[in-house]
Amino acid sequence: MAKMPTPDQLLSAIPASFPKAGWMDTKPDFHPGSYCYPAKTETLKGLGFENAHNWAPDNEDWELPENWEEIIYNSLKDALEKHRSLKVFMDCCVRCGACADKCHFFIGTNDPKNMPVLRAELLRSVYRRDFTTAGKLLGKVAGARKLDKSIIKEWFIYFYQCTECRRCSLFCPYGIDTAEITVIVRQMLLDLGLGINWIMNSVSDCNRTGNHLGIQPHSMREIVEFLCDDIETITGIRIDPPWNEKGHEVIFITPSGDYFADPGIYTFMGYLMLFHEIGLDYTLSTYASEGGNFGSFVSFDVAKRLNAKMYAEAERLGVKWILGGECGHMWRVVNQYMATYNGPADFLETPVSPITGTVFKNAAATKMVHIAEFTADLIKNNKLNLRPRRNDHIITTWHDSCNPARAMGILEEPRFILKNVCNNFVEMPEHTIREETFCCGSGSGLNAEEIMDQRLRGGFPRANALRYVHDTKDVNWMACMCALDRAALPPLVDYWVPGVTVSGLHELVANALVMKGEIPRTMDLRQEDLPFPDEDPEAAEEA
Amino acid sequence: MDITAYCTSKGEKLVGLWVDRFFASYPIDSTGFMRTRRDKFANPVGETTRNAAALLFDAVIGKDADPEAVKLALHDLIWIRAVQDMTPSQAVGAIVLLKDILRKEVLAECLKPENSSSGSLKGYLDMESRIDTLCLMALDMYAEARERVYRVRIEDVKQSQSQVIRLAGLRRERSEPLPETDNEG
Amino acid sequence: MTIALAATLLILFIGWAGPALGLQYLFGVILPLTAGAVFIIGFIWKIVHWAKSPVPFAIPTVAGQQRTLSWIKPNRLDCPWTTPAVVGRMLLEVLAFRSLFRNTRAERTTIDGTPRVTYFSNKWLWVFALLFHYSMLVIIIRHARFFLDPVPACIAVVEFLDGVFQIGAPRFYLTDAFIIMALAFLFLRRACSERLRYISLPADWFALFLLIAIAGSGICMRYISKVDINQVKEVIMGLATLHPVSPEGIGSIFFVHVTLVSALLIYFPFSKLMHMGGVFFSPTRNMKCNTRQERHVNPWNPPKNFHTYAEYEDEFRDAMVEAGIPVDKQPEPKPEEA
Repeated sequence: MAKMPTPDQLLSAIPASFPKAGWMDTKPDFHPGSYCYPAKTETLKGLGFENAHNWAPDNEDWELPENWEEIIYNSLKDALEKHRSLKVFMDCCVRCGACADKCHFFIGTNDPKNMPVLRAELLRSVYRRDFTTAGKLLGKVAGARKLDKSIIKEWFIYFYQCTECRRCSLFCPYGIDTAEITVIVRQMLLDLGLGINWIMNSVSDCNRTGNHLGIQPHSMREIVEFLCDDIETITGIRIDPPWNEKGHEVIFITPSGDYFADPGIYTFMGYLMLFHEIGLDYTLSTYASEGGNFGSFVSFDVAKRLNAKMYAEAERLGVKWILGGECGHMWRVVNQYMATYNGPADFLETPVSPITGTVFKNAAATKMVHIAEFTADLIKNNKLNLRPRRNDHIITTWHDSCNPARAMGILEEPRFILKNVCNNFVEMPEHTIREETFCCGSGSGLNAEEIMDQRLRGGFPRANALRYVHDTKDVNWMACMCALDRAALPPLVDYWVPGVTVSGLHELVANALVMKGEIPRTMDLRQEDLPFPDEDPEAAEEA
Repeated sequence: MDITAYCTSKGEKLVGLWVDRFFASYPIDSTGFMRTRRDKFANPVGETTRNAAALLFDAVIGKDADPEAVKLALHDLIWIRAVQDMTPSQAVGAIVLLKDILRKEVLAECLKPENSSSGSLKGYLDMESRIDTLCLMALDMYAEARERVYRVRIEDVKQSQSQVIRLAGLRRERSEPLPETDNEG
Repeated sequence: MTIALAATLLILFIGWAGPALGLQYLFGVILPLTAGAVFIIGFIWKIVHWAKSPVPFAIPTVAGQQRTLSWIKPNRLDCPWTTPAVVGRMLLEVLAFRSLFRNTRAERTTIDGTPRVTYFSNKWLWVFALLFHYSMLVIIIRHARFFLDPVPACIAVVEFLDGVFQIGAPRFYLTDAFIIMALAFLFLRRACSERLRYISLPADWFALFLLIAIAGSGICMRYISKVDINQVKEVIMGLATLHPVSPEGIGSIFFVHVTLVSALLIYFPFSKLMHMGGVFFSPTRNMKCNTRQERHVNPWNPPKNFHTYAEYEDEFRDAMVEAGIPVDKQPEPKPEEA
């Protein structure tokens, strides 16, 4: 008869320290919650991935194609020949460890393979074995290891635990960018037919229908009509945005999450109200209704393919320039890739704000302006009548989304807008904001619901900084400028810092925006009562 | 012997031992990180654990402790552990390990003949009972945290398609077909 | 770590034993010449190897405010949009290890008014990394006196500054102490932090041991078991001018030092030490952040292949017309209902 174990024995069954075996010899664990659901075979086939097949992450056998080693070798070789960045990043790392505690996933999970340096070593070790002489001759002594199926599994786990936020690249003395490595490894996995459903299904739907939920054009229009109904309820003004119309000055493209998802829809309502108020000559498009680019999470080619629709539609509709909504990865693509992928966009003109006459020279090649730049310019030129008092019940902070911050540098514009529409603005602690901002933990297509625990761990550093200002400065609102943030932060905040509301920037703008001909506002865009409503002029007269 | 005073004098060591037990229960504890880096923002998991352990320890040894503050500290600790891929017993159980530490470090002192008349054994047993209380509270909090995770997951799905659901509802009223979507994510 | 230590000791032993067995010409002339050739060819080969792959995308890491509206102050160095600004950013990166320096800013001393002890390793990493690299640079410049005749004045200045305290004879060089200190720190950091030990490969230890051995043998040769400097200079000048002079009779410590340096030169182009060249090639640092203003061209840009509007309209035309959304092609009139 065995005795019951003591609590200590029960709990200390887990190793107390780094595993004795080196990282090359520890294998990943697959259990529900540790992985995303795999992409469906027909989805991948439809997108042209030949090796798509049925498989399950928690099965021992992933049923890889027979020549899987050759596929990986060729895929890596191809990537090395195409990207100098990859070659340099593979050769240069000195393992100084400066990146290690910069990754929100490492901070939140303490799993050593979530240190960016080790995440990259997962690929580097294979690279050394296949592409360097020392690795071929010396093997493990040279930090090389032979590709086997467990390494593929390891890649699947850890390269889908990177949100491509690039925080590590900021601190790396050689600028090694894990996002670049992650995209390339995900591409290699796709070549084996391994992808995740949340990303690939969205890619497929964006490709076919123009939005990530696969909503067809008439339903889309109907949904926007609801939002216009809501605007009418709130402001008494009826807005009827143009769809797919030719001959307007601007096409407005925003992530499709803003059409369908809470709280993105309030931001979308904000855009419509702003455009109506300033009389912008714009059109929406059902064909190019997704600015966010799910392809950019996994493959440069797929990203290009989805991105191409934006210029194609701008050209077809004959607009002069493109205005882009609040989004993170969309702006990574627009700012750093779009002109390269699908330019030059000679059929467009250098953007000029029709209201203020400001020329956006910084967008001279891409011809696409960020709405925060656009609105900041409007406010600076006193073109908007704003009543920030309507937001007086809000003490807001600003979450810099990774990509607008580290791939674009749009830091001051949103702060300027926020300070003009909100009387109470508080920054989160230094080193958790601006270019050093922490990711929401769900970026790059990891906002799948099945890995919520992982998302909550990864988002903990961000939540912790928010909680600090919530506790010490009564912050009850966090504004941000990314559709993924708007989707991913509410659960995060709900778990870690209940009592804080997440919203987009233009929701707050529209709350404060005094529109010509509107009724006195008693509720905000969420149709909740305003603690500081507008005075009713008639009631005031009677009094 | 005043057991509270005695434990207070050894407090730093005992809390240290306890915190080590907490860290040791992480699947792969990055000792080099969790234990050394003391920065609320750079190492939130480590710092929260450390701060909570110190507060809970004071409550256990019978110092005056604000029940709300104790609850909050325990809440912080458990809610972190609830999403760290641990079993429920691992998440909550590290609290019990304080008993083990106290038995090794404090019990012998209480059992010394010269302390037998001062009621220190009763004081010791009271401490253990308070650990039991913490454990039961932690169990509640763990369950609440997991419930929240699942609620958040449901909300996540609902919110990501809120307008589609709205449209579906409206069409059902008009008995029209549902909107076409095959995305289950 | 053991393997790396063993390898270093082996090289050291060979460097001592070989010449002792009478192979002085091999170790004093042929080996360093070969090593020099391997280093130069290897270095160039690696650079060419990198340069052969194109830079398809402009992916600078932006670390400051972009240049947009005229009234918002942009950050010239952290979000450079002109070539001089990029050069500035690179200079800061290469000469001052700016990215590594960023770590120091993550240190804080008080939170909520309570002072806290923070972990300084990152700040120290920057300090000692800088110390190591600059000591190394000065030492290399000092060594140039063996390769050049007459010795240029600037080298004499460097030597003078390095030995400014004028302690001991031969005069004690500061950089000798600095480099040993810095290497000791880098070694202890790697050895003591469990995290770093976990990520370290044999190559990381090997580079450290090799450098420690080189610095150690060099210091030893200068201060302890001295060798005939004039003969050393003759030999090295011979190497530099490719008119080798027989190195016979120089103390064995010289051969140990030369063998270790040769090993480093041979190892260099095939190791992580190539970060010296790589740092200039990193597209997250050496590119302009003006990607919306100037189009970056991808040489292998694949042809456009996407779901066109026409295909889209073909699929949804009826629904679009019904919803009042304009279409390019009107739907075929429906056949008359019977």
